[in-house]
Amino acid sequence: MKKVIAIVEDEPAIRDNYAAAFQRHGYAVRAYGARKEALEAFRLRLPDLAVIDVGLRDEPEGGFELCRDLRSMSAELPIIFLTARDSELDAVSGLRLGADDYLTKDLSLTHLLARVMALFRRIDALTQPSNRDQIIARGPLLIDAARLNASWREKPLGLTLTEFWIVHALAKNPGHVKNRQQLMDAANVVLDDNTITSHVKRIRRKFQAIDAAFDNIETMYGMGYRWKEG
Amino acid sequence: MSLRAKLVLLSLLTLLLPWAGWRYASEMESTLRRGQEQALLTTAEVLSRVVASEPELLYRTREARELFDPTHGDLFAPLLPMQPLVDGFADEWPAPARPVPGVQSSDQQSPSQPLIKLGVHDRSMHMYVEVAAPAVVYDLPHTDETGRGPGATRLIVLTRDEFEHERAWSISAVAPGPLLVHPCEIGAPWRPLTEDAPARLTGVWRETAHGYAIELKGPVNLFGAQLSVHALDPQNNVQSQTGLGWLHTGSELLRQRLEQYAPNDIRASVVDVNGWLLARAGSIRANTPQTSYPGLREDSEGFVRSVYRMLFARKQTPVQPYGLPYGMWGPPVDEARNGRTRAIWFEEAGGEPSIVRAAVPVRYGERNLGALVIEQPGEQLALVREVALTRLLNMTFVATVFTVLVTLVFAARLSHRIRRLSRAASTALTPEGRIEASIPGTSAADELGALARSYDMLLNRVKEYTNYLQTLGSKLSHELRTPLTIVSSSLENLASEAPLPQAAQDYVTRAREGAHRAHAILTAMSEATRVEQSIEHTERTKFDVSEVLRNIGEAYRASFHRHRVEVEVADPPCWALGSPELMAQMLDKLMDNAADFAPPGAPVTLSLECDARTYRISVRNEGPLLPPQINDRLFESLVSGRGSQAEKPHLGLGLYIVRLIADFHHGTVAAANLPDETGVIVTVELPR
Repeated sequence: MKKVIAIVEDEPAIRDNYAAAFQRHGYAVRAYGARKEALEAFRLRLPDLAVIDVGLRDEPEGGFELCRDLRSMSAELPIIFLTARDSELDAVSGLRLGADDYLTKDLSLTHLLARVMALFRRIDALTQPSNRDQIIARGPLLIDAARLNASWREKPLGLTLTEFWIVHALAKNPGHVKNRQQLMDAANVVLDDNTITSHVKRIRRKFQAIDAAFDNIETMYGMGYRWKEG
Repeated sequence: MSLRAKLVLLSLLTLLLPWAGWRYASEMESTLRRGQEQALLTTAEVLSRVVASEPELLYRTREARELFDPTHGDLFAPLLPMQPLVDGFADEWPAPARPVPGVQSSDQQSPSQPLIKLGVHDRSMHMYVEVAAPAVVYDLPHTDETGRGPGATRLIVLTRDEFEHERAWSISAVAPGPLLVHPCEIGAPWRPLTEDAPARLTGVWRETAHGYAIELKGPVNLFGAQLSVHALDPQNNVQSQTGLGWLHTGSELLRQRLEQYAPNDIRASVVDVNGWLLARAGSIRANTPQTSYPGLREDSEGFVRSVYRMLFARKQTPVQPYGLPYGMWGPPVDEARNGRTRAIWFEEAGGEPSIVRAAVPVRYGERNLGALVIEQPGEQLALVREVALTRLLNMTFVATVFTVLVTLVFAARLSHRIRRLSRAASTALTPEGRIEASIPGTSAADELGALARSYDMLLNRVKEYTNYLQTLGSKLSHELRTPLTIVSSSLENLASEAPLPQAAQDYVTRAREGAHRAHAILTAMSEATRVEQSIEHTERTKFDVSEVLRNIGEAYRASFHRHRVEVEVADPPCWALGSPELMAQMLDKLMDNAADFAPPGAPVTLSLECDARTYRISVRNEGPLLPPQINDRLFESLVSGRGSQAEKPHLGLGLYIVRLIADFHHGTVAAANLPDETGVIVTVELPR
């Protein structure tokens, strides 16, 4: 059975382009232009993944609201924000509402598709036994690349996809400095340096929520970041 | 000159008030003066008619009026203010206040002529004679009837009345003391006339250093119209004598008449045609009115008083001696004697208050009999004026002080408001290029309020405009992102479709490259906004600036391979509070900038200097100098010193981001040309 992706986007051209791209890759697509319309449809039947724009026609924060409603309907449903807004504040609030990723529209379709697939993979992986080969253990850090899951001291970190891939890229080769471009490539995103910095900041904070003494991600000024073995 | 000083100067115009008041008081005073003069002259006129109605009171004889001339031996007997003690001494006799021709004084005594002083008091004639004599021989107490005694020093007083009837008295003494007076035959003074006894002359004989002096008194009518004195030695030879002179006297009756008619507080005097004082009556009290102004009494001397005297010079004539009690010579009496009326204000002098003196001629028919002089204290008027002026001055002084103070406060308030406004206007534009300050005083209803309101409106509009400009980047990037996404997603879809012809594939590739570049530009445009946002969310941590610089320098060596990156960093750690990430971002911008301007292969130097107070991070490059016109605005938003031919878009945000980050670290940033003018150095100074 085809996976169903819901696209909530008020701009018909983008909506159709995304829909076409997803359909081309074998997904069923249901596209909505407004919050109410989408919400009503979601009440009848939940999609397998939702891509939501933040500003929906005359509701500048409509996407956030929709995300909240959707999250209340299903805790596991992957939600991706895809928006023209690139301010850090918006990203933070979107992620706080339980979205799995917050992407700006600069992202290429290829990258978007990669993420969608990754998210589906993560969902699928939850139902399958974990594959030993895909697990990376760095001290207390445990990364399950198949399930796109990371935990610290056996507690899940709850990373977004982008964050997960950044951590994954860093932890895979401890001690190696990854510059920003490398991290972006790993995360399949096009971000400016500043956004990478705030991503790293958020990642550190998530670690520190579990372990206040966490300092394994080291900033190499002017070069990038590296994973320091504890 | 400040507004305050100008207003205070203006308020000094209130000083015109006392001046106007002074003018008014002066006018008032001269009116009052004229009034008083007129009243006085009228009184004098009336009195003069009273006096003229009894001309016989003025002159005892016609000759006294027409022929009297003391320089030719005529004698004047003034009214004596008090009765002399008949004791042979002339001390209590009044001397004229100034030399009067024909009136002898004791020090100009000549041996050939006895010194004679005459005076009238009440109804008595007082006479004082001083004679120079080599020796004095006294009479015997019991001279026989024949008078053929041994002889004695004697004085013969001879009078002649208007009927040419002559009488003589022989005056001698048995010793210094009472006189022996008896009428005598003219030509034979030793022979007494018995029929005329007793003589009503009494007196005292006194010996002096040069001879003797005689003081005597007798009824006025005993003395005739003419008088002469002859001093005889014991052998009845004339030692010295005076010629027969006309006798002119003051008039006791006239004095009484004046006393009777003259009003209170007025002194009236009558002088004859030659100025000789005939009568003087009435007294002038030195007024001491009870004013509520201490220091304003006529006789008091105080600071305020002296100020007034200095400010208001009196229109008064200084007193000159008149020659009292013999006569009154001087204005206005002289004019009156010549037939003109006049009043003059005199200063106070000699114990008398300042007085106004009016003189009118005394006319009998066509004939001028003399002058009547009336004197009245004038200080009452002066006091009225001074009291009025004092009140005026005090009040205007208070008013002036009050006005100046109010003006000062007003001016201070005004200039404070203006300064506040100009300060607000000059600081409205923050160094970041934002308009933050609000204009104070916009609620005031006056013109300054209107000015403040228009400033406020102007600033608000500039603010809106600036905000618009500053958010234009992110707005544009936001608004353009959607259509760009349409383009790029469409292109991607197109590329994913069934294989395109090679030519179409090329076009798609180019279009995607273009879209990619457009994306990059949009991202750059909103960079400053994102930096500001991330600064807001950045926590300050302690970090080692020198370590950051060393690391980043290493990184730059790799990434800026077209230039020689040199790092000059001191070894000791330089701890600072802030964000190393932001610091690195700032250095990125500075390095980008420096590398853009430095010619390939040229060194770009990154250095850190630490001193006691500050860290100085600087980036130095060879290359073109700073454009002088935007030097100080280089670090503002949307200001770029670059030409438009650069291949990368330059929105003038790079150095603005540097400034934002320097500000976050409480530091300052400045750009300058190198001293040798080979390049540029940008220095960021952070406090330790």
